[in-house]
Amino acid sequence: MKNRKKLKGPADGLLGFLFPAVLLLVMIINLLVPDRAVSETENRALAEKPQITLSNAVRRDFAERYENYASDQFVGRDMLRSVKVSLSRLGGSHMENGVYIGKNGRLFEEIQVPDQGQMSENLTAIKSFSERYPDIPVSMILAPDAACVLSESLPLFGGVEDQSQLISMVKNELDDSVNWIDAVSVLNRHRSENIYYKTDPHWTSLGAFYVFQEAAASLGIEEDVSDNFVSYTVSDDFNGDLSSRSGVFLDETEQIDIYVPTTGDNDLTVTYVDEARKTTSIYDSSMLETKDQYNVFLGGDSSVIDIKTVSTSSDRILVVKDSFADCFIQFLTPFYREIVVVDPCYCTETLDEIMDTYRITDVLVLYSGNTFFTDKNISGVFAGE
Amino acid sequence: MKHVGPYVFTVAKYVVLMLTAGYIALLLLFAGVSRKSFDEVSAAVSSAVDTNNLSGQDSQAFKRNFGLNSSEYSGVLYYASASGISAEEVLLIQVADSSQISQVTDALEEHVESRQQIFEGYAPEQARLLESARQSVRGSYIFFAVSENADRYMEAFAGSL
Amino acid sequence: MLFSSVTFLFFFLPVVLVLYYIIPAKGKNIVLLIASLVFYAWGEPVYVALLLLSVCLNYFCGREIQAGEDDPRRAKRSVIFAVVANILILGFFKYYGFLLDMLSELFSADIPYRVLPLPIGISFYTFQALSYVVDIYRKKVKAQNNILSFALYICMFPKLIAGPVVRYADFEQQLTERRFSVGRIGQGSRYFIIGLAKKAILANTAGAIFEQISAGPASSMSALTAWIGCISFAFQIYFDFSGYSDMAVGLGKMFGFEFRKNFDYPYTATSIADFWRRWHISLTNWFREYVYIPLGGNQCSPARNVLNIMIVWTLTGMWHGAAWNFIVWGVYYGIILVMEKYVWGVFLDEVPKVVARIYTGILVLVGWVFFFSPSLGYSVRYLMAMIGAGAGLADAQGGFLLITHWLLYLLAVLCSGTVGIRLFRGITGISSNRKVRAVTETAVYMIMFFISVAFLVTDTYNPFLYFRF
Repeated sequence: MKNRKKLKGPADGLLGFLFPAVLLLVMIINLLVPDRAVSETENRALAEKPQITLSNAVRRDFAERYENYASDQFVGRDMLRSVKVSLSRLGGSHMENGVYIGKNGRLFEEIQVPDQGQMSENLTAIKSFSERYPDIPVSMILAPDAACVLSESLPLFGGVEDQSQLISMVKNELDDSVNWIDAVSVLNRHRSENIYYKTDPHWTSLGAFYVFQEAAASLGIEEDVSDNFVSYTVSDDFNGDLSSRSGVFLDETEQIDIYVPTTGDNDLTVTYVDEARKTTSIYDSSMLETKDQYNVFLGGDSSVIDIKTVSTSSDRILVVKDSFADCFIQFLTPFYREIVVVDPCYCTETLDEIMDTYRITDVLVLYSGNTFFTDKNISGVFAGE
Repeated sequence: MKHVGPYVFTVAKYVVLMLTAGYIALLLLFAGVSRKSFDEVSAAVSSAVDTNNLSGQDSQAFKRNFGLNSSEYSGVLYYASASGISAEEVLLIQVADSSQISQVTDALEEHVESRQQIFEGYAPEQARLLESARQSVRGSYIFFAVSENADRYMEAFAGSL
Repeated sequence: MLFSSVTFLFFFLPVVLVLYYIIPAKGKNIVLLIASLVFYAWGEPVYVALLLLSVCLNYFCGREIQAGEDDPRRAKRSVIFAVVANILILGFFKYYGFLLDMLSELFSADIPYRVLPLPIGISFYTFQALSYVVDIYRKKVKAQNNILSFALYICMFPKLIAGPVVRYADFEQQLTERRFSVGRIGQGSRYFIIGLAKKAILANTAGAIFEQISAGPASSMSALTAWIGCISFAFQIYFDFSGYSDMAVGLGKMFGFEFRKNFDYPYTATSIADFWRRWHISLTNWFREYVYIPLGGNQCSPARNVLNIMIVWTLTGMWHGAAWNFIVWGVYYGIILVMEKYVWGVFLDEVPKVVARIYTGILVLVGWVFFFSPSLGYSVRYLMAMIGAGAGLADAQGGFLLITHWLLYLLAVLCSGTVGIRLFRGITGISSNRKVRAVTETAVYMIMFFISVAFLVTDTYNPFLYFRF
């Protein structure tokens, strides 16, 4: 009866040979297969081999870094990840790697709660910035994330924080220092339409368009803008970042639309200031060949972008934004002579310097809720002397 | 079995004990982690820094030079030279999380490399200063100095812990 | 290095196995010793020196005690020296900061100090060294004259970092007499694969749930969420630690060593006394052998026995960490054990097993609350939440976590008892043909291994709780 307590059996011989053999084989394969720099499916850079120098090896985190490298570069990583995700979902999982798996093939980013200290710093910085420029209208749009507006598609019991309340708190804090534009009710009204991507955290161009229509009056645009733009589909095989992050719905494809003004010339000069690069379009079609197709708008994240248009207006607007706003810029081109787009994550100047350099007449702060509540770069960029 | 006198072992064990004590003392000196606050450590470093050549820099300058965002860390102290032909700088960071340590050390490595390339051309002595840059990671503190006085600054840092 | 890492599985282990079996018998111990030092140095490049110093110190102390065997007073002085030296070193690394914090509070001063990070495994290897020197003094074993063999005893990588705490008496013979066969490697592989699956699949997932729940304040948890959090932690720590012990036993076997099991389905225990006969067996045995019995054990008055129990359990709590919540945890169990022994133990024997198991389960879960809380205040708030005084009885978060992990909890419950292993044998033992059984068993194990690797490679969350010791 010893067999019952210990693990023994007829498989011992076979396993005793096979298991070490498999370990050895996989080790050799891993050594032979070259390292990848980037993972397309996960949409991120993969860890590089940490250098085996003395100063590196003596650090206590060397083992961890090497392990990150080894598992990032593991042969068959994508296949192993899909095995894990499938088993996980079989076991009832409706969240993978921080991404909610909702109904109808829709993925959601978790709603982030702001750190109070950082939040007050950000808001104080924005308020004092606005006070430094009493003659320049500062408008602000805080767009809700998909989980806030499309909450009925969240998985069962998948509750999230109430972002509309958080957004209202920001509005109340900022009070009169900014022209507040309410994006939450607009998007709520159109919630049954395709206003958010299913596999990506960003809003669609349609969602941005609705908010633009709401914002037009506050921005000083008198005319009725709803007929000024026509949409074109530039891609129908877009698979977004939420799929890459979670490993779910990687086969789903979506459409990306751009909105082009119906009347008037649309000649532009787009200057990427820190990279000393110039193009003539706010769309970068080469990005449609890559995984991250959302970057077709403005070519992705950049510190400072200077867009000069042929608009008859004499207004120059400064847009302080995260990547959410990238597809919003296309609606501003007919109404401003110059649009300076700043992303605080990458911008190393202060806004005061930029206001001076470009003789800005209007300011728009456009963020999605999640980024605004977690970004630590805002206060630095808005800081005065 | 060799017949060895028992006193060999007594002597040996005391020797090993002394070695162990010495080893621990060395570790405390050079690798000890203190609970001093960032204010205390940065004050000690600041008082050692030669303010004739170096001046305190703001967070945007820090971001420009290292590509890092200062609000992500518990504390950042950055001195650099106002002159464009000097590579002298002193940096003290307290990380908020140990995972940030490799992020910072990688950024420092890149920074030194790109600076060396820049200075190679027109101020080779500065490039050499970069080569002998001093860097130290103690617990959650990371210290970095490019200067002729780098050793003195590092001692001020180590001593303040 | 961790067993549950790609580096170990597909880099270290195959190389060491190959080298070990290629090199002839005389060199095998050296191969293992060098491999163990590399294994330790990989994660602790600086502290490997401390490990070597500890080995040398204990080697010389051991031989000195042995040499003084005819002179009981000298031998006693030697062993006291060895014990004190070891405890001082362990105490410094582990409790120095805690002690100074306590003193700071007592005298309302702020004593500045520097601490060193805790060397991995120091509690384990120091306790093994202590068992060695004391056993020599008690004449249970003879000192090992070959320093390399002794070093192998202390440093052997399967048990170096997280046990089991193996007594030298159980190890000595295996230094020179081991049996090797492919079958043994196979048996070792079984234990190893099962341990890896417990860790990578069950423990890590349960741990992720617990981490999510414990990130929020305890006072805003519903009872459902609090219970799920506690149960998840209970599963995490069990599968983590027993998985690691299984891997240690399996690795030992692969190299021809036999270690005793460290866990025996503790969550099926019918009393707390029974629980501690099944949880971290090697540690409780160590405390019984080297603290409880020398203090008098139960060969004394009941009052003294109660004191002995409380001392042992306070120390057990302290061994787990230099913080008040661990000490409370130890004392908590000490009190319950005293109660079971002298007050209600007899009742426990009368009640049906189900009731006894529920009683034990609840006490164990409450114990874990003390164990995982970062402060005593948090543990109180958490316990309040568990009875509904936090944020009500149930909320969406609890419900969500429960239904999105139903399979995990089902498997965890099955594998906590013998049901899991019996189901497993049932599946693999379907055919009566030996060869077919061999193939199906091997296939099942390899599939488990494959799934474990998939989880390991994908998950960025791979902690090991007993690592702080």
